Amino acid sequence: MSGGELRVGIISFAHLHAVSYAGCLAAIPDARLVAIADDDPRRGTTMAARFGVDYASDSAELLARPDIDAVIVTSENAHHAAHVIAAAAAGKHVLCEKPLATTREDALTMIAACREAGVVLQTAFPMRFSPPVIALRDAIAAGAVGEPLAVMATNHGRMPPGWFSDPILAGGGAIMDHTVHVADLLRWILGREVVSVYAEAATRMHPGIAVDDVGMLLLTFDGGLFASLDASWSRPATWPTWGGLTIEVVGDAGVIAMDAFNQNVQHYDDRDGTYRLVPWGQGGDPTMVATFVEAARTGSPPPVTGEDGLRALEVVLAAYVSAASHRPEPCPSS
Amino acid sequence: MMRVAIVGAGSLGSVHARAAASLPGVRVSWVADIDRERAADLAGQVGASASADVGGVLGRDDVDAVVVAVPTDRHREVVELAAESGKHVFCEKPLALTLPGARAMIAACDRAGVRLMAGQVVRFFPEYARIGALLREGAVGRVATVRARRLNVHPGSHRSWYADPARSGGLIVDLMIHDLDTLRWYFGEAERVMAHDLSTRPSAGTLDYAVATIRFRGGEVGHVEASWAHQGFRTSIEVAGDAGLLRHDSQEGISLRTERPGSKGGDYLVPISPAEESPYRAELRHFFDRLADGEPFLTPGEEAAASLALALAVRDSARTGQPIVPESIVLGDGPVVPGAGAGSLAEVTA
Ligand SMILES: NC(=O)c1ccc[n+]([C@@H]2O[C@H](COP(=O)([O-])OP(=O)(O)OC[C@H]3O[C@@H](n4cnc5c(N)ncnc54)[C@H](O)[C@@H]3O)[C@@H](O)[C@H]2O)c1
Repeated sequence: MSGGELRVGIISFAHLHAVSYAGCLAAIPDARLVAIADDDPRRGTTMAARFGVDYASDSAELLARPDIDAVIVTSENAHHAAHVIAAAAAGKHVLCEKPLATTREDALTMIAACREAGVVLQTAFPMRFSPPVIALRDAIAAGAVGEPLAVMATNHGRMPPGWFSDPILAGGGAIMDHTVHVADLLRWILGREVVSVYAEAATRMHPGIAVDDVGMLLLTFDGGLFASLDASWSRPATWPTWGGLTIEVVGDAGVIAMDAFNQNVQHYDDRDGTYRLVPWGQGGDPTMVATFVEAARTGSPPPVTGEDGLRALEVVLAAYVSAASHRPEPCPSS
Repeated sequence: MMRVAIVGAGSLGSVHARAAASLPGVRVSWVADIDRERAADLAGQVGASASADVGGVLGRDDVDAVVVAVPTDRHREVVELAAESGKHVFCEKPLALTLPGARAMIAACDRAGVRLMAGQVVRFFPEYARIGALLREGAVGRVATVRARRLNVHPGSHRSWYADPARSGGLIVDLMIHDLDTLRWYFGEAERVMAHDLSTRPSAGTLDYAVATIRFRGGEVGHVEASWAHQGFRTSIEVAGDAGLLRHDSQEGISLRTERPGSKGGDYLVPISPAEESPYRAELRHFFDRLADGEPFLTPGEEAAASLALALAVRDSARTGQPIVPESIVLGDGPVVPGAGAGSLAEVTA
């Protein structure tokens, strides 16, 4: 590591979260973005110019650079495995976009590769660093609602453009895209594992796509606690914001409701005839990227691991099995 | 002039007595309650006579129709007695606690040649009726998901019989049935339900919360919640389709609000919002209008029985931990309802 500063590469801007992560890196004194690899030269060169860094057409070229300590992998879901495994082989620490992978085998191989190479593998779950989510966890830990018994959660959005609705590249639809955040948060907040999953999946909002855009999940955790999660891409184009994430917990001594993205200014804009919600909250990305930089620089364990990514993925995979079998399905690690 | 007897002078009996008394062409002639004091108190408010002898009141010549607002486990005996006495019946929801019970009540009314309407009042709430009308117009295109919530304090704090599932049916049959009935009205019959209910967990104590996913035969995916774990009363509904989204939240659509020092939570029962007519008056007006013109009720006994069948399927799913196909339950002893659902929406929106 040169001069204690973490030198970071980003592999692919297929997932637009990469733009936010690059911006976060720029604000961290101990980190520097030095190169971007992207198999789409137009996108790659545009982003390299935007952030004033080198461009590589091939991720192997980026990973071969000895002056790079760590990478952020924001490629299509199905490509995470190849990129993370190659990064581990090159001795680079990895922050990998969610979902960690599209198959359990890939996720296990990625975790093993990083462990053997002695590099950090952090799954990018920015909602763990969202202030309302942290406040919810703290309140529950302090006994605000007593013992949690049941949970209602939503993670709604619009269908993201491009490969997100490609069954191979994305590995699924709304359930793949939107289940892992809440699955991870509930594991973290409740300190319990998901033992079984029931799901209804459908394609109704976007006729003709080959993946689900409706996902309604019922989860059972160890100890018997149940949770529902609506992961649907059900926000219309006229919805004033991209979507949202809510969690409501029924405890034996009360109820607590969290709406993570309900931190907005309402904007009625006659200039273009729109109504929008303009967020004033900073979201979890800056803190998440900072924790990765810290873990990679010091070799300390990251706050969110590859195993966390695996567990959340297992909920997704069980949901898809259930959506086809119409039965509650067990989660493999439970 | 229609002369109506109110049987059960509790919370809903009081609501119905006042609503009936305000309807032109309707007079509350009797109020009957096994609790004589309650009967007398309510009778005094609406200019009726009071009695603790329910059978005696039902047999009187100056009673043409009966409103049944006794605890749910008593619905059947009062409805059957009213039918045998030749009186038309309006019965509070849930119609019955079991499907055989519901069928017996329907059959008793059919045999006696009297008509039976159930108080599935949400169909008469203007916001839910408006959503139904908009859906019929195709306001959101093809429906993908529907989310309905109905949250309340535990009614056992108000009347102890609610806390006994053998008397009230429990949270799903007593409270969730409102939204189950409304969603059947919007979307037709369910293909499959899966549910969880805190009352099946020993840890829950007296509070209760239940959630169900419902796959409708048309492919719509529903998420329905009912709670006796919240403070105050709240309902919301959201319907998302490929061309838009409709939503209503009782905590957001408030046109009059009073706050006073020391006031809390809110009342457990009937949400008040300034409107031309309360939904409870609207449903009774519908009852008497349809008795007069002979046209079908929006919520006849058969519709309420079909909604009960769905509620029982949800409850069974929560108890067994497995998805349930409601049809198999309904068809167990012959179909309860001949193709209800979306078709009947026309009546209210017309
Ligand atoms: N539609 C709605 O919004 C709504 C809301 C609440 C309750 N309800 C329904 O209304 C019904 C009554 O509920 P409530 O909250 O008014 O109950 P309540 O306990 O307030 O009143 C019931 C009354 O019935 C009397 N009673 C009991 N057994 C009787 C009998 N055999 N004959 C005559 N009177 C008898 C009791 O003395 C009491 O006065 C229930 O079926 C309930 O599910 C409907």
